[in-house]
Amino acid sequence: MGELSVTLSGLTLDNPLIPASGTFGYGFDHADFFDVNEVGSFSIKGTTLHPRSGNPLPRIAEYGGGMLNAVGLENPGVHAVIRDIFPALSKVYHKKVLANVSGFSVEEYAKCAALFGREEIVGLIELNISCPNVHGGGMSFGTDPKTAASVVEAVKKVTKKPVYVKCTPQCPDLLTMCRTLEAAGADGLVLLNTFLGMRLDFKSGKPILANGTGGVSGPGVFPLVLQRIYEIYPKVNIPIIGCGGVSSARDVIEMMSAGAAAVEIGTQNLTDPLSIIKIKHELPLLLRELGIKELKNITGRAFR
Amino acid sequence: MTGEYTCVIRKHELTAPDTYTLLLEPEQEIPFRPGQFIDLAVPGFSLRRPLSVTDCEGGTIRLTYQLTGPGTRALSEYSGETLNILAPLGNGFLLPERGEKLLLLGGGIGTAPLIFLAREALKRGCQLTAVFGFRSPDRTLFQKELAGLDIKTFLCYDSEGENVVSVLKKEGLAGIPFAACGPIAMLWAVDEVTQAPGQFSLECRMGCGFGACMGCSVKMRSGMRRICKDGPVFDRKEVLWESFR
Repeated sequence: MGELSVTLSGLTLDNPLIPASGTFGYGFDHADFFDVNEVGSFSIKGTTLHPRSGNPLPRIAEYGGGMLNAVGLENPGVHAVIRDIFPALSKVYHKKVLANVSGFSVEEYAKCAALFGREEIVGLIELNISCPNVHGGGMSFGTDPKTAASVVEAVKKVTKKPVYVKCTPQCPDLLTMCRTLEAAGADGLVLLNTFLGMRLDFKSGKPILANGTGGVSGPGVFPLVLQRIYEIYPKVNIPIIGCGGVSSARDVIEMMSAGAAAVEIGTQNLTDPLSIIKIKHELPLLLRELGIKELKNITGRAFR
Repeated sequence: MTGEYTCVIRKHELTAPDTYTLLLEPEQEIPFRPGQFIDLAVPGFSLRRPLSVTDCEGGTIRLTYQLTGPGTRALSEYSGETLNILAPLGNGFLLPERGEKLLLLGGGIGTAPLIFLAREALKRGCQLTAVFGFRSPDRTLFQKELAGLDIKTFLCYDSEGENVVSVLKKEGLAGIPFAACGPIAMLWAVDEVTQAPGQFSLECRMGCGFGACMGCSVKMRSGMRRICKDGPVFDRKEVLWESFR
C-alpha cells in the first residue's frame, strides 16, 4: 500500500481521510465536485432504525471558529438506506463506508447495526452515542459509561464488523468512558462528536437555532479535541479516529501525532467541498519535509 | 460543471441603501440558469454566503446583495481583488414556453434573481409583467433596468401603503403564471391570493449550499427537501408554509 495508507481493525484505507458523518450525506453531493473514491472512506449520514425528519429551521449557525448545527438526525431510516441508497452509491463509490448508527434504545442500535452488518459496502459500524441534537437518545447514551457499554455489547453480539464508538465531549469523564467501551468490546473510538453550544440572534436576543442548542464544530474545536486524543491514546489499546476541526494537512499530521490512526473531516467539507483532495495532495509533501516514509508511523509520535 | 472558482472582482459598489452590486469574473465561464445561486466565501467567516445570480452576461456574474449581518458587512468592506465561489448551485426556475405570459413577483432583495429570469424569458418572446415591492421609494432596485426592457412594471412601496399582494389583487393579475421571490410572509400571501401555476424561490440559513449537510432541509408536501439542492425554486404545490413559521 502507499505512503498514506492506514489500517483500522483490519480494514485498510489507502489514505486516512474520512469525511465525518453528517458532512458528506451519502456521498452523492460531493460527487458533483470530485470523484468520491478519493476519500479513504466516509461516514454515512447518521442513520436510525426508523426515518426521521429532524429539527425545524434554522438548523445552522456560525461562530468565529466554525459552525453550529442542529439537524437532528434527519435520515430515511436503515431500510431505505440499504434498499435505495447503497445500490446507487455502489455505482459511483467502490470503497467501504463507516455505517454511522444512532438510536433511542439499546435494541434500536442493535437492530440497525445488525442490518448494516450484513452489507458488503459497510467496512465498520460507527456507533453514534453522541448526537447533541436529539432528545432522549443520541448523546444521553454517551454520557453514562454503563449505558454506553450496554450498547456496544448488544451490537457486538449481532455483527462481525468492527464496531467503533463516536464519543461526546459532553461526557464528564471521557477517560473512564473510553476504557469502559474498550472493556465492553469496542474495536475502536472516534473522538469526538460536536460540542454542545448555542448562539443568540443579535436583534431578538433569542436562540438562532430552532432547537435552541446545537453542536459546535470547526477549527475552533481542534485544540480541544486534540487534547482529549492526547489524553486518551496512551491509556487505551484500540485505534482512535480523530474528529474535530481538522482543516489542513498539517492538522491531520498533528492529530495523528497525538494518537489518531485516521482522521475524520467535518466542517471543512462543507465550507470547502474539495478540502479532502487538497489535503490528500499536500500530505506526501509534508511527510517528505518531516523525513517520514509512511504516514501511519506518525500515529502517537508525541509519545515516542 | 459544479465547482470551486476564483473570481476577479470587476465592480463592487453601493447601488441602493444597504444594497451592493458585485460583478465577478470567474477564471472560466460558468453556465448559469436563472434562479441558481453561488456560495461565496467571505474572508474571515466560517460559512459561505449563498447569493442569487442577478444576471450572467459574457461570463461575468452579477450579484446584488443586501447587508443583513456581519458577513455581508465584511463582504461590502472587502478590499481584495478576488473572491472564491462554489457554482452553479441549485435548480433554478423552469423557463416559460415561447410566447407564454409570466408574472414576476419580487419583494426587496428577492427581486434580484427575477432580473435574470426576465431576460431569459424575453429572449423566448414571453409577455412579462413585473410587480416589485420595496419598503420605500429610495430602496427601489432595478428601476432603470426594467424601464429598458419590454416588461409591464408595477413598483409599490410599504411606505405608501401598497405591496406586491395588494397590487396583484388591484390589477387583476392573480390568474397569470408567476415566479416569486421575497420575504416568506409575502410569498405565503401570494400563494393565498393567486390561482395560476407558480414557482417560489426560497431562502434560509444554509450550511454547505450544495446538499451535503441537511442544514436547510425542510418539510414539503412530497417529503423533506433541501432548499439548496432540491430548490431554491419550488413549485407552489410543493411548499408547506407552516415549515417556515
